[in-house]
Amino acid sequence: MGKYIVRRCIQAIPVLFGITIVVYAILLAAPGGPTARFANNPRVTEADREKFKKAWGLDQPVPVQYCRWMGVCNPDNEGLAVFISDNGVPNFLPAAVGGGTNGILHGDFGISISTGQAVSTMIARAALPTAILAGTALVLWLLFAILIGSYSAIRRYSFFDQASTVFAYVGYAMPTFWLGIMLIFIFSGPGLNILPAGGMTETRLSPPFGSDAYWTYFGGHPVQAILDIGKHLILPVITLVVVNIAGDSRFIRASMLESLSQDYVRTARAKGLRNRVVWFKHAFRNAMLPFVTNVGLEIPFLFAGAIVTETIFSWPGMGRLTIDATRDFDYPLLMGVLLITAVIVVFANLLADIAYAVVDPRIKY
Amino acid sequence: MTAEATVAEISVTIGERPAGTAPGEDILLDVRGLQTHFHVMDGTVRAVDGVSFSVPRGGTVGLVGESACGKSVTALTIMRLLDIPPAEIVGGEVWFDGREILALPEEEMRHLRGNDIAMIFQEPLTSLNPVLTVGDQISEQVRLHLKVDKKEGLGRAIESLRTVGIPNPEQRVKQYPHEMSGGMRQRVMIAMALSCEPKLLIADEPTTALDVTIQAQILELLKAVQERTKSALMLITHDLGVVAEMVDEIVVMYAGQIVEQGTAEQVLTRPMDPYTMGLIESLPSVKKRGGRLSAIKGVVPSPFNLPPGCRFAPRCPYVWDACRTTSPELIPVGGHGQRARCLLHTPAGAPRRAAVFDTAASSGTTAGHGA
Ligand SMILES: Nc1ncnc2c1ncn2[C@@H]1O[C@H](COP(=O)(O)OP(=O)(O)OP(=O)(O)O)[C@@H](O)[C@H]1O
Ligand code: SF4
Ligand SMILES: [Mg+2]
Repeated sequence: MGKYIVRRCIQAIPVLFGITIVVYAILLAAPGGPTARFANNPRVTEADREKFKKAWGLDQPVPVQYCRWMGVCNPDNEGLAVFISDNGVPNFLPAAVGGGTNGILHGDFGISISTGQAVSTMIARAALPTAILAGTALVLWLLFAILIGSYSAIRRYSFFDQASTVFAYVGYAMPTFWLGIMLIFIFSGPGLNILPAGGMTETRLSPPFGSDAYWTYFGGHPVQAILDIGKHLILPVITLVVVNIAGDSRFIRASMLESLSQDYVRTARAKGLRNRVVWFKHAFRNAMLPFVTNVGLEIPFLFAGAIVTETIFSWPGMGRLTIDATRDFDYPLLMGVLLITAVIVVFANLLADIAYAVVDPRIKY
Repeated sequence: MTAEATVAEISVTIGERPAGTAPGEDILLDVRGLQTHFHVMDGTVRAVDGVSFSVPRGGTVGLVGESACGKSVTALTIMRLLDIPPAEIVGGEVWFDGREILALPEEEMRHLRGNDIAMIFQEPLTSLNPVLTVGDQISEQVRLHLKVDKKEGLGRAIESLRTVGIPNPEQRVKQYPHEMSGGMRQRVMIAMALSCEPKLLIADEPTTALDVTIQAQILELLKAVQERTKSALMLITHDLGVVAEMVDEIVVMYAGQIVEQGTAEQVLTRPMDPYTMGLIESLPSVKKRGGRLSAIKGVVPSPFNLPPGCRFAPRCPYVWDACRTTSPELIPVGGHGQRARCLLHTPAGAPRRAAVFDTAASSGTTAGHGA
């Protein structure tokens, strides 16, 4: 098992490497380019633009640009020496052994064009809000999909089953942005006005989330702070998970019905086992096998959904950072955000594969 | 046991008793007029249509018939494992160990399953749960019914694997079904079924999915453990050759009904129903001796469109007009507990009888033998 996990992790390395190339190529192909942000600014002259390009290394050939971004090339050197760090060893090696300090390999995602801050700092700050949002969504998604799906299968054609079918069709058909706006309209509108329409914290009560002042406040009033975030989480989380719960409760229902009709379930009943044991020990575990893979495949949609949801609810996370970066033609930031998201998706799939191997003894590793 | 004693016993055990009264102490399972229907899209399938037979304590009964004649449904009705709907138990009684079990509350029925009545299924490949170890699957049953702890449960699982001839049972309990061969898995199923020392073991075509050499081993094993544990055995098969060495009594089914029942000797050597005769003549060994039929002609009638008279009429070599309008009853023939469902044994069939059976048999003496 341990060997299998190590092997799967090693196999992920070329995938991650491929992702960096794809991210780079997509942004290279996108129209506009890094100077597009000045396109409509009459005060920026052609000379300024050239200066900007030189400063950001955009006058270099594409492979060199890519290698600099990755941290294989040292931007301070010229010619063949670009591969050598200031300490005279290959640049891609870790800084600790004298390698370079620039590029992704050294944790340097560059400087944001729009804010002038390190991209890594900005991502680090946005990561926690997204982790809170996506994490809560993931837990509720799995919990409700599994509960609704298996109960529908066990009580097939019952009122509950019929009602969950209706919910699934409606929930699946609703566009995320529309649902979000409707929820704001209903729960934050002048009528009810019981839940906040956006943000992560009540700005009148606490300093902005993530700042040093906020953590001081958090240390002072942890319960109040958590409840405040919880209140702000409700609508975005609902917006984010409804589609997943709708789709996956059907998936689990079908999968559970399938295992309930298997011979081994009949054997289990012939042994005199309680229904509960037959359902959850014998049928449920088998029904979960295809679902584990499915979850791995759906994680990317959780992030895609987060982009929309965070934008609607002004949630200060990765999704909003992505939108901001795109709007501002902030290439370093956009590349950083895309790369990190892709890496998370790769690891989510890796986890799903490992989970599958854990639950299915027939997997050979 | 002499032939005379067997015959006397059979005349007691086979036959319908008045509804609502328990059978004698010596009868473990008594099925009376059982009717199980399936309500499906195209109509109603009368899968089991008035079946009555009984199994004495420690006795062995074979349920034989072609595919779809209702053997499995009979067994699953006794176990009460059918989904209702689409199934419906329309009528009949099942007495087990002195109690009518069709009316038993589900919770009490559950205590019988696996504990007093155990069942082995046709498909060893799919009948075991792929994600649980065989040890877990056996011991959960032992723990449930015998109320023992985890360690003792596993110990008993190991013991029961040993009794069915699985080498290294201490290692095997930790394995998953996919790590075993088909024959090995069927041994596991048998070990599981016997783990709580049931009074009745129902084996539904336990060897059909296995290759021929393994089939013989599994049947031998089944016979050996049955004799050792003194549990009663109800063996379901479509192969008359299999039951010959395995059981004392045979019940032959056709299209949801019993067409013949009697001791193994009676049914195999002196069949009284043309369908049974056809089954026997289609056995390879009989064919070599020059039997007229090599296989029964035609196909099983559609359950939605059963012939109005005798259900076997479209395929029967002895059919005549009356067969197409009159449904034969299952009636005693020969006076020694054997029963058959054929108009040849009614007064109307008397003129034709001699041409089909030899005179000794049809006149009711035990002297003559067919073939
Ligand atoms: N769940 C079900 N729903 C509808 N019809 C069924 C169902 N189970 C069995 N039947 C029907 O009942 C009849 C008897 O089936 P059964 O399984 O008892 O046959 P069998 O004698 O065991 O045959 P085989 O040798 O193929 O196992 C068949 O016509 C079958 O189509
Ligand atoms: S009743 Fe007629 S058709 Fe039916 S088995 Fe007897 S002879 Fe054949
Ligand atoms: Mg069957």
